[in-house]
Amino acid sequence: MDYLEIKDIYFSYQSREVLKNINISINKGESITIFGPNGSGKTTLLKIILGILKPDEGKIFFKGKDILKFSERERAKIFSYVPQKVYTFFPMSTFDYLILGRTPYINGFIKKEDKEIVLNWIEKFNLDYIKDLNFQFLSEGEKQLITLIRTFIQGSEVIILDEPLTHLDLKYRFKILNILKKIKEMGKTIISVFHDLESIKNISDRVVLIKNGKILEIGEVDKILTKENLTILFDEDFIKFTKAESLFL
Amino acid sequence: MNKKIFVLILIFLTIIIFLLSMSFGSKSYSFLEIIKFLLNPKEGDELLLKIRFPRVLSSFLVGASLSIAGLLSQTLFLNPLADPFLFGISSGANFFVTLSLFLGLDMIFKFSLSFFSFLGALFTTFIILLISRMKGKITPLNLLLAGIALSYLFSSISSFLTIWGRDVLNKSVFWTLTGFSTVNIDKIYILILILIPATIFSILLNVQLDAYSLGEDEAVSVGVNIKFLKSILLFLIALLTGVSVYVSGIIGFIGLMVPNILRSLFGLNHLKLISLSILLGGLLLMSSDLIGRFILFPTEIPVSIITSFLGAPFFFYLLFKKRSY
Amino acid sequence: MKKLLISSSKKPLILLFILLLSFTIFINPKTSNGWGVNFVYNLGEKGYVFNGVKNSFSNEPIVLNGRLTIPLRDLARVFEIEISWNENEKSVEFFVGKEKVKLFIGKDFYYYGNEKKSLLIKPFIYKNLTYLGLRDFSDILNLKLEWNNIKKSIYISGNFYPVVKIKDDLGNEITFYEPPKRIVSLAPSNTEILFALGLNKEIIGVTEFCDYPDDAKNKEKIGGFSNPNLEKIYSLKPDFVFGVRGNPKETLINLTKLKIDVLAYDPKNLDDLFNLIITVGKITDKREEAYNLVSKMKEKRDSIVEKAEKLKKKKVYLEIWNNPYMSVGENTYLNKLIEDAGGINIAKKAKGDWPILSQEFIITENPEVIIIAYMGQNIEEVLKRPGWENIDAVKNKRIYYINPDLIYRLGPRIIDGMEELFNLIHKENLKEILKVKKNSSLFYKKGFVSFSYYE
Repeated sequence: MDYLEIKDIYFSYQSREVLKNINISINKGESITIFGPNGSGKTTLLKIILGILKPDEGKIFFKGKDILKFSERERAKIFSYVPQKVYTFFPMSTFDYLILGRTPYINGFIKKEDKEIVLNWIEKFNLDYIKDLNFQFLSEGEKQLITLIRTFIQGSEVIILDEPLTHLDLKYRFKILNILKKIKEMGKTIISVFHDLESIKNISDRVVLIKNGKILEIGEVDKILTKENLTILFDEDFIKFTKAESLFL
Repeated sequence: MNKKIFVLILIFLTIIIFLLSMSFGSKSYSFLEIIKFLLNPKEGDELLLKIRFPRVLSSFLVGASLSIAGLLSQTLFLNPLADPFLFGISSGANFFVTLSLFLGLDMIFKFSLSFFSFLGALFTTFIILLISRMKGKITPLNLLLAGIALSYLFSSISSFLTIWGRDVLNKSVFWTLTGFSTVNIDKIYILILILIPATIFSILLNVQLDAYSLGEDEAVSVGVNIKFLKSILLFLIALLTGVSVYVSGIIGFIGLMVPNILRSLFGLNHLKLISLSILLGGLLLMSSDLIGRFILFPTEIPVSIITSFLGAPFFFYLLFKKRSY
Repeated sequence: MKKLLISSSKKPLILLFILLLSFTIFINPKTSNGWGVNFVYNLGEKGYVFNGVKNSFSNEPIVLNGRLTIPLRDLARVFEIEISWNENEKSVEFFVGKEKVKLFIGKDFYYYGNEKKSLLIKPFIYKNLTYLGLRDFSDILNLKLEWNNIKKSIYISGNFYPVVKIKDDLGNEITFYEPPKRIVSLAPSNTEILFALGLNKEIIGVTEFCDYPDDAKNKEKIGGFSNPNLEKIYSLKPDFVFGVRGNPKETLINLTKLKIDVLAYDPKNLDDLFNLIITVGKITDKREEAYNLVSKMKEKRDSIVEKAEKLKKKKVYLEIWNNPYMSVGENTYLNKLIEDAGGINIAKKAKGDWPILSQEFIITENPEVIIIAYMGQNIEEVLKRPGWENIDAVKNKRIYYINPDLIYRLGPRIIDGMEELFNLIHKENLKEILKVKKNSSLFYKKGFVSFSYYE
């Protein structure tokens, strides 16, 4: 039985077909990246996996069970999410933000153990200086980092990341990539969207090439990111660049 | 400002204002008499038992009620400028009151006018829920639009009824200005009956509310059932606001001010926010009622006028304070 | 000569015709042809009798050439005519009906409109007063003057319409040269005043809420009190619109722009009301009716006040609404009514005209009588209000309902309202109870629900 199976997914939004016939089979512990041009449906796919959006057709099976049959809490124990941009509507301390990772485990009231778990992780990542600050005032990088840490607190098997490095400076790209590597070492499954080839090569095992909502090809990182594939994917002539890799440092 | 000191000041002020409110009125009582009364209510003065105490208590409870409703509204709409009347509850309550005045049903049973206002609040929320569901998703925008549409509809029908009916205009205006002057021991029962379970429920949901404050997508990702949460929030807001309107007409600003003040000090934690809303909201409204009774004594100034006076400087404060988002 | 043969079948008809004819001769229905005046003056005296009321001139009449002359000023006062003096021409002007009359000092002719007419005596000035011959005066006004040589008395009688220039509370000023024949009323109180003056025929439009007297219900409706229908009013072609405070000012202004005479008033107390009734009487040529009505009202009021003074004053709480509890303040006419009827208004000390009262205040003041002045409140409910048990009025079950129309409409029935207040306040003193008017209805119908409230 497959670990995580994405089967025959179709999704339309305002009469525009966003995803067509998506079929992906993900193994436990692997790191897979969804890669493609803007507007090709990547974020939508991630949200469907998380249960935020419901597909028009098709299902997603986790260890053989339809994820929509899980309760929200059960799903949250399996999947955690680092969105592209973190919005904050109200002031809150970083500690309060982090402890929300424990939501799927909390019944009514936050307990001492919940707090301790959070404090442990804060210590592990040396974030003590930040925990009482207003989360709204943190930099993009710090926010992204904290959200990633929250996935530890959430303790899920599958981590889903939507363009985690896009707005970040070099320091935070480095930090986050390192943490992702650690996550991989812990045996967790990572589903990500990246725009730069460097990160993909660093983190991922397999890549799903997606264009206009359809899967072009799925394959291993070293084999699939050829100039020909990139040309088809982006409708842009990459073949003429001799040192393609140097472009994407 | 140190949070602990703030809470202590709140508690201290509440006790003081409570004692002052209990002692001041057409008949004065000393603090000692009040304490004796509280220890043994049956032995106390009739006026204290049946009029003064219910009045002071209900002003506190309605303040608490409106503040929690305001907090829940702001969380629901993910907007610190939301208040419990934002999606048309006040025009719904007002509409039912005007309709009952027009049909001559305003006195068919005790408190019937108040009861209709409560019904109006619930009815409005129900309709809005229905409309939002029809639209597909309950989003803050949908709620707001539905609320505005209903407000216009209700206001226009109400206006029509006030012109057509006899005395409907002044009576409906007076109803909105009622405040706490007609409160007696009977009205208190319903207030407590609804306020306690609604508060308990809200408290049980505190973590869900915290998580919902992250935004819908993230809330789902940490396991919140947002469809259920939004519906239940609407229902709680309707109940809390409806019962407040039942007891004392429409009182603005409390639901808006209290959660904002508390959030700036205590952040996101809804457990703290709800508990402190009870305290701060109760204190504010109890004080407002005391002021309303005191300034032009023995004429009463309706409490909603006093809260409006407090609301104006608050908005200026919001305007000029450092924006955090 | 041919005999006129009248067939037997026609005889009853002819008889009927003769009967009818004789009726028309002998029975002269009073037509609004002017104010009926009756003036009696005995030569040599300073006093006179005008319409049955004795009075006296401020200045001595003078007999000149065998003719009695009286200062025009005095005549004007008695006959309620407005005189204007033209300094340049040394003339006096006043209106008789639509015609302007112009008299000149020292001239024996005058102008009646465009017509030149002659005077018996030339008007003269003596001690700074303009004197006019009484017979001349009587002729100008088309009145009949008789001289009783035995009694040495002058009798002047007849009808005329004194032209009135009226200013209302909005600042409108209108001159009436003849009484209006098509009147629209914009308030129930106004309607009652008009009917009380006998203007049933003249009233062509009333508001939806005008329900008293019964005839008012049959009149054409022009809309509500706060939203009268401008077009409807205009379509009825009124020559006088009688409004109050509470009518939208814009509508009144628009009516004026449409060249319709509008007067609106805001009577604040009984004296204002009496003046208003007299003013309306003057406009509509119902002066006698107006004077009678006002004097009857004053008489009744005075008798109530007199009776009330003999009795012990009782504390009264007049409840005008229950959500919130409201009563009447010191500056309202209702306060005065209560006090004159022998009550002490507990809300007197509250500020404002319609103060909101707290229950505590009412309980502490401990009224002896509670009067409910709005519809729908069940008296039993009042008795059950928690905390009110120890109020004297509740203990003694002295809670009564009063027909709101009797006390809210500042019109002819206000004294009935005062009477009712007196009765309710002093109910236990049975022998003091004045006659309660039967037509003050204690029933009301409202919308779809009908209740009757009775104490």
